[in-house]
Amino acid sequence: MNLVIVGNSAAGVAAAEAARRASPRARITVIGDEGAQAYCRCLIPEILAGTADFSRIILRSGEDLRREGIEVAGGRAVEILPGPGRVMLEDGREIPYDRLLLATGAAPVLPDLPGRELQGVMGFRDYSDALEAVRIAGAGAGDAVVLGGGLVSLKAAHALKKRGFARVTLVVKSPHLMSKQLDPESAGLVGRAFEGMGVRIIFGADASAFLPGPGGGGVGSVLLEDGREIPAGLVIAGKGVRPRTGLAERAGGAAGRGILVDSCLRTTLPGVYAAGDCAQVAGPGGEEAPWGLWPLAVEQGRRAGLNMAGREEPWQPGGVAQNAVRFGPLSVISVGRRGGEEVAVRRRHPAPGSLRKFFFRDDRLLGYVFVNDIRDAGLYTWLVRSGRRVPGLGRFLAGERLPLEAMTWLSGRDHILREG
Amino acid sequence: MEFKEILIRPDKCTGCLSCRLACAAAHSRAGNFLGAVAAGEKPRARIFVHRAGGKNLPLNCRHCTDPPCVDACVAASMHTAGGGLVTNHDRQERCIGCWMCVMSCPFGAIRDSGEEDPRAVKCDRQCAPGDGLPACVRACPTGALTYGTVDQFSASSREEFLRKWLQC
Amino acid sequence: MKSHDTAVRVMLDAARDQGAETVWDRHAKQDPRCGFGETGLCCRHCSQGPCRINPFGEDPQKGVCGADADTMVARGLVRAIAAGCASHSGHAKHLAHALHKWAKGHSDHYPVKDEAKLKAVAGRMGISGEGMETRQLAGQLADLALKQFAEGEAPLAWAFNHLTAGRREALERLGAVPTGIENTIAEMLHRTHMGVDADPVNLLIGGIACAVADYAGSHMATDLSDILFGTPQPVASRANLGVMDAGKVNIALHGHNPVLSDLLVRAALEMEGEAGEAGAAGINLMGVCCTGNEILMRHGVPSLTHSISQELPIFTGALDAMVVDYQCVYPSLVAAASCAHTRVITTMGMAKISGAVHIEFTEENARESAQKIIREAIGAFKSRKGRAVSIPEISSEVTAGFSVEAIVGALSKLDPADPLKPLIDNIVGGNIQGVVLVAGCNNVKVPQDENFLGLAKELLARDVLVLATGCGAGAYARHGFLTPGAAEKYAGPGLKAVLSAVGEANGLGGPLPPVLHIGSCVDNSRAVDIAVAVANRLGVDTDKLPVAASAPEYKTEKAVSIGTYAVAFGLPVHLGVVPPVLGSQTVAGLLTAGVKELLGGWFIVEPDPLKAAEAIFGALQERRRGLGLASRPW
Repeated sequence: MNLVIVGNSAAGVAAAEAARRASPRARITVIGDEGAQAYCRCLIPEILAGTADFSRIILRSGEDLRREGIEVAGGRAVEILPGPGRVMLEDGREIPYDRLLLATGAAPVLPDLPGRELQGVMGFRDYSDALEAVRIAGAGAGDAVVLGGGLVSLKAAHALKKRGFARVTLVVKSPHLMSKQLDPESAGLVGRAFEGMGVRIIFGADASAFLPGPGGGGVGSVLLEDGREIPAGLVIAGKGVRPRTGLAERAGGAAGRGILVDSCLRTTLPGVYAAGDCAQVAGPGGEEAPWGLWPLAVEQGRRAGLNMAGREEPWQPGGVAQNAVRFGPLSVISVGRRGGEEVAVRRRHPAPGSLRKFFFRDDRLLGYVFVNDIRDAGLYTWLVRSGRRVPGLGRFLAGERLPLEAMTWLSGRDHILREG
Repeated sequence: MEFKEILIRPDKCTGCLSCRLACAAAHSRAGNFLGAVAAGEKPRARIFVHRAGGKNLPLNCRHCTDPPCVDACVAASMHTAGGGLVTNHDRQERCIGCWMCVMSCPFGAIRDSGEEDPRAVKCDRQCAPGDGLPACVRACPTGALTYGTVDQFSASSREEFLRKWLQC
Repeated sequence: MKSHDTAVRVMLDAARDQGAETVWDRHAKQDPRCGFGETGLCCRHCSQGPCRINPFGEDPQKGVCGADADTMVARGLVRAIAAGCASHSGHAKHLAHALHKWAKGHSDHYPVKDEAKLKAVAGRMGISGEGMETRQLAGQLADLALKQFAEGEAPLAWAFNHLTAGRREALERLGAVPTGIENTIAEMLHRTHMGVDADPVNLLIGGIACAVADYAGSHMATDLSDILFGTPQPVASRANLGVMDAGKVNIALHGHNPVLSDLLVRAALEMEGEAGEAGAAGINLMGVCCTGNEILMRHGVPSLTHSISQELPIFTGALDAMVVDYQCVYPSLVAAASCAHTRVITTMGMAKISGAVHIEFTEENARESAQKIIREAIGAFKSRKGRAVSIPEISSEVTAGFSVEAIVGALSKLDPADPLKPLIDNIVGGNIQGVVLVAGCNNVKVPQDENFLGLAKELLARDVLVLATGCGAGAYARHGFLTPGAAEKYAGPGLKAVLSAVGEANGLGGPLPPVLHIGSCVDNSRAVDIAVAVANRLGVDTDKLPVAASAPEYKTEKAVSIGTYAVAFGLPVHLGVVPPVLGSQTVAGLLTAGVKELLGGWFIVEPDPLKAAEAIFGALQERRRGLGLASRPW
């Protein structure tokens, strides 16, 4: 059995390792276009901030994977031939496969505006992006503009402040930050925290053009739709990502927003699977995907790996949105969705400005947002994920104390012994 | 050797919280309770006692076979070490305290270290002296916490349980 | 290691063979201890609790009522002081009643034995006694004593009359001035009730006032005991389990108050014949804990054992009766005796143990009750016949009986006109580097006697004179420290020279013991008297003297109270067991540092006896330098 995985990040690595566990004799090859070392993509803000170097964000080194009997081939896949089962690389190599996984991830979307080609206008997705931002900082840029109010933008803005940019401006089209994840009140706490860090936030605005700086070549400022011009030696666009579906589509595979897969992570191409940010699970619950969530990529990758190795185990779509993030002293966890009834617990302790909001309907927890007070978050995540009905939920949530039945159910059974 | 677990008998729990103090103390720099208190240390307990429905329920990490916290860790810090121990204690320097694991643990068993640059901390079994009994088990005065292996039936039910919720 | 006492270890083996449970077994079963209690962070003062505060800064940080760690710890501590004060003063009040009843003719059993002491005490308390009959003077003093318990208008005389002027001012400045004993105790209970005093500093000042009231009670107990039963003079005896005699009726007297034990000593003399008729070679009285100290000091009655080893004599099979009054009497004695013939006899209506034989003992029926008690023991002796006994043949020689009067008497042989001068000269000259009062109990958390022995060896070798009371004195008794030979063995050259000089001047043919047994736990007042006398003679306050105190194995609330009054009187006070105050850095800081600014004394908490000795020695040297005397390095 010859298993090939295109993509050396969350889903790719999880798939390779799961396949190895399931099939000790299979030949497994991972092809990565960012070199042999798989790294923790979510940690590139640490590189930008200067709080970590590459060695500290390695997910699996080539050596780690080789120790597990997984070959790593650096290179960019440009075409797949499902008929004979071959992956063509940019450098002309051909890699044969019996089963192929596409774990190609997603690419940041740069706004289609004048000046987008200027040096210093960039997305924030890869290690190379972080290095480029560091280089620009080293060249003396003191002004940075970050477009968007989502997670990537906030992480970038926070890292830019730590890197030493004197003026960092967030340009946010929505009326508040993290509009996908947060309600206005929680977002207000996040916004105030960012302003406290010295980040300027302009709401209800968007860029209309990137203008070159006096030296030519590099970006010098961002022109807003309302005519304001904001100096910027660096512009990071956190305006979303696009699943990398090209390989599958060029081979004739079906794609919606992402590469369409069934519950076993199979694409419409024979012997070809997809997992992670590039994939979109068809069927109920899959329509909102791809999520762009690391844990989901790991779960999908593992399941795809097992299936490629011969274990037909379906992966159930219907996960929930979930994000946890910390910006210095500010912690935010957001799970599920908003709506229904709402219970909010506001406290000065344990952390100033702590807020816990629960959203529920018909005694089922739809989602929650925790700002600063993150205790027991996982219990609630699983209550959301399960969709389980807890009679009197609202009352329990207000007291932040779940009923015993829910607790014992959440906590499993086997380790909890009952006296005969 | 089969991985031993901290087994819980909720009916025997009086809610004295001795397990929490012992756990925190075992994770202090002083390594003992009075020494840690005297030095003003603030080590964090990694076991929790929930009060629910008039009963006490001690909970800590179950060291899952497919741990959601490991899947969720974006920093390759949380991992399953030899023998089935789910931990980040030996990769603390990689932890950035993003709370993905905190958000993902179905037992609510992971928490923030409370330091200025906080990390995620959890039951890491770095609390057992020569006799191998975890500090919380040693501290439990009523036998609500014991240490042993889950029998085969229970082990399979756990697997089933976790699979169910992982997929839900 | 459970005990450094070989006899105790032998008996622990016997207890194990008999399947009997001891304090060490129960100690093991109590582990793990509750950390909240251990740090003083558990409050049960109202039924909204029990409330706990997490010492590591996590929730909860406040009790239901809002009391924080500082309030909770301070409240717990001052309640302990109040309980200690209640115990010592209850003991004193019992003596005052005995004297009062004799003076008023309600009981014949408590005549004044030491008229000189009666006059001296009356004089100190402002009663001239000129031309008064003994009974009349005793009546006036007893009245005055009983009035000390009620709220008065002036500072509590039995405390303040026995302090230096400087100390009285310091306490007044702090606002730690009790005006009566029992109202002070009651006030502490009131203040520590839910929703009263929540200011930790204010609570601690209240606690200090209560400890000063404790000192009044302790001093009164010492004074009245001496008046009723005689002021101790040096006496030779023995200590440890080997003092039991299989052929005699073995009666252990345990507890605290000579109101009971002294009468039993008298009754035993009268009942030798009855014992003989029962086939015994006589009646063998022995003391346990502070009762043992009282009858050792006054009658040379041997000491059997102390504190945590109190259950063990029963396992010899040779103990016929254990007669108890109150304080430090383990309820476990009844269970220990359940498989033996030993009668555990309780005597006080306020201190019964279910399963024990209770023979009510009052001042009025004292003689009859004492006889009844001894008869019960003789009965037990008879039932013992034919049973195997195993008594460890281990005991030490003891010289005890060093009341202030006895010490001054001995010193006056060197300088009749100014008896304190030789002591002061030797402190100034450096032969005596300082004086340390070692007091308090054994505590099962410490291998028995380990801290007492370690501390004394280190201090004696460095020419520090040791005074001992309570179960500390008991430890030194059992380990041979209360002998002239111990001076040769342990004392440094300077101290040895002084002890030899005093010994020779008194015709003892050898030195004084290097550890002077000055009595029971209420007799810590004797140590304060010596310190006050020396301070007055030097014209300084007690907080300037190279004098310290230590309770290296303490366990009781009484010890907490004693330690607090010693700090209040300006002494550095070492504790070898960590008190339950660590939960509040504020309170712990006040006790170990802050209080020094206010009163001169402070607590040194150090479980390691060698480090403790070094810290105490350091404190003495600091005092020596303060007085302009030559100091020595450790």
